[in-house]
Amino acid sequence: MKNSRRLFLKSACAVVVAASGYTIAKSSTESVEINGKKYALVHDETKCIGCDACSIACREVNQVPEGVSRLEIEREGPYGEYPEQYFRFTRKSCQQCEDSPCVKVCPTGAAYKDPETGIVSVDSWKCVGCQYCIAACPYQVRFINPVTHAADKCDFCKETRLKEGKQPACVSACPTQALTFGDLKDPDSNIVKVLKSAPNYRSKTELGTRPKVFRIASQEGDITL
Amino acid sequence: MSRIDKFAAPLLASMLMLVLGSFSPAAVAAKVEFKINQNKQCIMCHKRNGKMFGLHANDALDLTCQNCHGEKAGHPRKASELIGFGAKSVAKSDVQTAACLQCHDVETLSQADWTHDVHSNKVNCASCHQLHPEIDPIIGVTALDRSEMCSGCHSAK
Repeated sequence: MKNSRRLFLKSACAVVVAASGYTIAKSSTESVEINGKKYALVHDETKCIGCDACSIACREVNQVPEGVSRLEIEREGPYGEYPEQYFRFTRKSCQQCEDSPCVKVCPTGAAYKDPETGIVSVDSWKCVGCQYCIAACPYQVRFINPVTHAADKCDFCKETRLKEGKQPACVSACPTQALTFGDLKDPDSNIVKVLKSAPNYRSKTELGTRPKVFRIASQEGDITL
Repeated sequence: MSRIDKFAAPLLASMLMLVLGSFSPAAVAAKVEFKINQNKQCIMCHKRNGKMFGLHANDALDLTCQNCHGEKAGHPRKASELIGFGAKSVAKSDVQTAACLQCHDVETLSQADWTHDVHSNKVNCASCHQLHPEIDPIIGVTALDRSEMCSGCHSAK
């Protein structure tokens, strides 16, 4: 009698462990992306001259209406004394987070991360305009497109230039080649080479969003020691 | 005869009006010659490239060619301190910008546009601005044209 109860408990435990182990294993395999691409972008702030060629090209290619923008170059400065003054330029656009807050809060599934490319996108027909994503985005890059009335943002030109097999509009437009776009999983890609060759940073990594827009900081900072 | 006159007279009159209309602005401009362009010493030779039509030609400013270009001295036969403006000029950028900075102060330029700060004395003003034409082409330039002006020099390709 005693033995059978012990046997029952033992086997029950084994079943539970096996079942939970199976579900964990299953869930971890599910989170692995289907097709290995993981697109990312590097903005070399040391090369950026603040000419806005990128944001102008973006507006034209993606038909972004006036008043809103998918991409902006923010200018800080001037630093230093005349005639040796300089500015710092930072890119304001979707950071293509691996752990995207906008996707998490979207109640309709309009905001999603494309499993093939890793690009965070918007299904405008699914969007109900609740603006949760706009509130959730720590980078404040989302907006309601006045034409489609859906949330909108940079998608690395997934629906326009990438479909044609071209680089995103901003990357092609940049006269100083400050932008590098590519697949992080491809060890021979330019982006991996750039990231390996220069120290870089990402914005607000402390939030755990794991952004995929990398930045090479301009050498001239405003702190003098 | 009278019949021809009846039709021809208004026709001729309107044609005359058209012709006059197309010429009259030029005629007016020629009549009201700016003081700066009455400077015989320079304009005698520099009729084509010397005349000023821009804001700086305004009589109230009372500028002369020498204010920007420097003293004639021995020009054209002997040495002079004259400077030309633009990339082709032998005068270096800082010398060229110094001529503009006689009147335009750095602070005001900085407020007008941030690009003044970074180009300071490294790029001559004439790379973007033209003072001789009636309207400086940089005024009201579109965002795209402006951006293309940047990449005209800052190009890695």
